[in-house]
Amino acid sequence: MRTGVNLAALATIALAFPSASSAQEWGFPGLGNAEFAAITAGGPAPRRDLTGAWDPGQAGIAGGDNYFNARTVPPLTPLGKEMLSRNRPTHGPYTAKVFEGNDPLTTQGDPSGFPRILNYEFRPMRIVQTPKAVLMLYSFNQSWRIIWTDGRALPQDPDPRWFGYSVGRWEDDTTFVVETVGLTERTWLDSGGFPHSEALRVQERYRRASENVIELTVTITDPLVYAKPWISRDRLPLKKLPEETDFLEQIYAASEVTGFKQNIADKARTQ
Amino acid sequence: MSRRIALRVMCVLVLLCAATPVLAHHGAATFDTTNEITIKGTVSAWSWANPHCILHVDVKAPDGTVKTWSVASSNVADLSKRGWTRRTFAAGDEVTVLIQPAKSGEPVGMIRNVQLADGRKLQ
Repeated sequence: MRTGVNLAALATIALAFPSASSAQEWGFPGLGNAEFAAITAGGPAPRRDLTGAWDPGQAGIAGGDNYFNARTVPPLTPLGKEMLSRNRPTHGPYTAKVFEGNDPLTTQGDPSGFPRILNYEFRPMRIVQTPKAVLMLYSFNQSWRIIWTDGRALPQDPDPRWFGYSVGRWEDDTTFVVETVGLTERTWLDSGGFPHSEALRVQERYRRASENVIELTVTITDPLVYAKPWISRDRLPLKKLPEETDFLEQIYAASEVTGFKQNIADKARTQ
Repeated sequence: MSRRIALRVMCVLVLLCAATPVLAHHGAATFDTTNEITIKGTVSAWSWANPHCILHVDVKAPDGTVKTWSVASSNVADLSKRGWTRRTFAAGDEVTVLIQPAKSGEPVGMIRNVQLADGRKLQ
């Protein structure tokens, strides 16, 4: 029986975070820093297999030094600067006052969309492999993607979608590469208001480093908005959770984000 | 400034603290990170919601008037990691809440910590 997590790792998790290891526990909210660190590499990487429940830990959520900034993002084109100026984030280097915020996710309840789901509030997720696709099931906003692996080409001139159109292939026995296009520019790349156009193309590289670790690298290519391609996630480690982990539901419902706006943000308005 | 005076009367104590990055989230531009205050009162509602859980606290002034404060914490996932639940507070609970108040002067703010009647402190 393949659980994907060896006994030693399970024992470590059990000591560090009992709810993470208890079979049939409901509503796991994600690993804390100590619990994340306690999960070791485990055995060798299985061949062409990303199946399982995974958690990028605190680094997936953003915050602190994790926000994109002028050091991590290349110069914006004139269009990019104009798009950025319209965005009023309440995080990151261009933080506006909270009552001025227009983050489509946190003020309107829009979907995170892709690739924001990987750049902000990237919380526990599950990967399922089928004969013709890889399914990415995200606990945040209970959203999902299908990565087609049946050999199809990416669509030409697709209608933009919140999560785009994705195809994937195994580059070698441990590296799965995903290309995504057709992304609506209504989404931000992160919570800091960095924009993108519908010319955006995203590459994800999932390297199964070991039994318990995947390293994710995400490359953003959008020549209409950014002067050159850039890496938004650089070998971000995802650590394996027990297979039976049930995830907490965390949905930014429109009624809830509106509640924050009405109860807090609007009342914090200053002239 | 009457609002400032009223605030001081209402609050159990006013603490002057150095700004910390704990609430870097919604930033110094809106909430007063250098003038944290403590409010003490009775929970009227606890909203377990995203992107911020909100605690509504009725605070009684010496003259008997009651003002309802709405103070926000983090999202449900981050609070769950810290041991908070949707049942952490119930209407009628007595709480003491350290907050960063809004600069607008309205009774809203961001929670730093909450002390329950039994002495437990939630961060």
